[in-house]
Amino acid sequence: MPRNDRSYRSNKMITPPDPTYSEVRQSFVARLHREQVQLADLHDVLGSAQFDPAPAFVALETFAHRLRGAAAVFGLSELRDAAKALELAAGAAVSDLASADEPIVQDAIQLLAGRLSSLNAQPAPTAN
Amino acid sequence: MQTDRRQTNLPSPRIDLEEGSIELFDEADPICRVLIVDDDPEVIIRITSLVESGGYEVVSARTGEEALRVLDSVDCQIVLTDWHMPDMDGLALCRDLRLRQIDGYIYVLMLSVRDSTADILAGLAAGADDYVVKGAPAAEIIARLAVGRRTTQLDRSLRKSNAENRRLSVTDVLTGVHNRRFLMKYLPRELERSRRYNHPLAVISCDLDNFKRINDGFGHEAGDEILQAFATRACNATRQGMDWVARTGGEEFVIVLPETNLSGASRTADRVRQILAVQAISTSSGPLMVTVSMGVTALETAQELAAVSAPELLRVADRHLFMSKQGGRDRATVASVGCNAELLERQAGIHHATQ
Repeated sequence: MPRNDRSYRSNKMITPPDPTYSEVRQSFVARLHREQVQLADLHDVLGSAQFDPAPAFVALETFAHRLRGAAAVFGLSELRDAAKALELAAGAAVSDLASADEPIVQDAIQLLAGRLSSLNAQPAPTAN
Repeated sequence: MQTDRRQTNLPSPRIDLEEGSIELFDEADPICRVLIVDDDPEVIIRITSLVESGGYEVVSARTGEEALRVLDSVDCQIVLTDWHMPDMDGLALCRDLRLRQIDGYIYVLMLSVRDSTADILAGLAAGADDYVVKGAPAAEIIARLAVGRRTTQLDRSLRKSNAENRRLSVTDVLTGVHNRRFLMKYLPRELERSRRYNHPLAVISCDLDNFKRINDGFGHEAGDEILQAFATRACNATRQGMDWVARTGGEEFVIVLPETNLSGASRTADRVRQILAVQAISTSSGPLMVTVSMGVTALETAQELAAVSAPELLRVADRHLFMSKQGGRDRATVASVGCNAELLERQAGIHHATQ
């Protein structure tokens, strides 16, 4: 049974000796470029959905959740946390019937975009 | 040369044991196969590599529906599933798995980025056996998979033990053929099948001659060896996978011959007697010749099949056996059930005056 204190969730993913790991991780990092583009697209869709932003929020929530999980698996904890923040903000915006310019969502998008941009700018990002 | 090698009298393949036939787990090949379910291909690759490093075989699926299709065709002991997936999510997959009738327990380990207590409880309530948050150390995932492996191996061991117990409950321990319990349970089913398809059904009631004298004169060990040898020879004289033999008493056996008429049963009886006659049985007290008396009968017509129950069929065979004993032993009395008019007339509601 998982412990409730969550303390085992280290920021470091212990990487077992695995010759394929670096390849897969590089492949994932390369994908982050596409994720950054997709986030920008979703942001644009949200910006144009002035009267019914709910579907756009749902799309952002789904996107952020998927990215959060993948980031966790590959040990990119800051990216994981930024994705989680957007996921929670977008989910709350749906429940609260928030408007498209909801500040919490906009901030979370900017935070995640920043993380993605930072990772994409690095020649060989490492797990932190 | 006829050898009295003991062989197990396997039931007809058409007859399932009470709980259904079960493949026995081969302990020499404890493969543990993990099904990884996640809609993210790079996550699948990463987790696959990790799981394989723990000594497991891995298959994968991208959705819950695909996972169910994989499980229909591939034997997996552990499912490692994400939560959020298109079409069927991980919770629905868990619930579906727990509702299915699957041979062997499948251990479900949910691997999700959702980490609240409510999420964990939801996953376990849906049927997951364990819950791990994505980002957990690889060593922890491997350790939890090991728990799953132990659990499924225990399940296999218990199922094998249960299957063996069921087999023993219907098997005569000394000879390896079926026992009386099996006969009284499955002869009615054979009769029912014969009625449904209008096929004949024959039985041969056998009793070894002078067996008590053999036991007293040569010892119980020799007596046991004779019983074992008779059972083996009777099985060898009958059709594998179709006919079957049951030991119903000390030196009494019944041979059940589905889809066999009286003339076929008579030939089988002759074969059994011949096998005994041509070669002595090797025992700890030396070679011994043994004879058998038999009563043979069959249900051949739709009328006979409808009118006669399984116990009545056995009683008719026993009456014929008695006639063999009275007639000097070492013989078979062969007569159809149709000769027993009383049985047939009972169906028509006509009562004969006793003679």
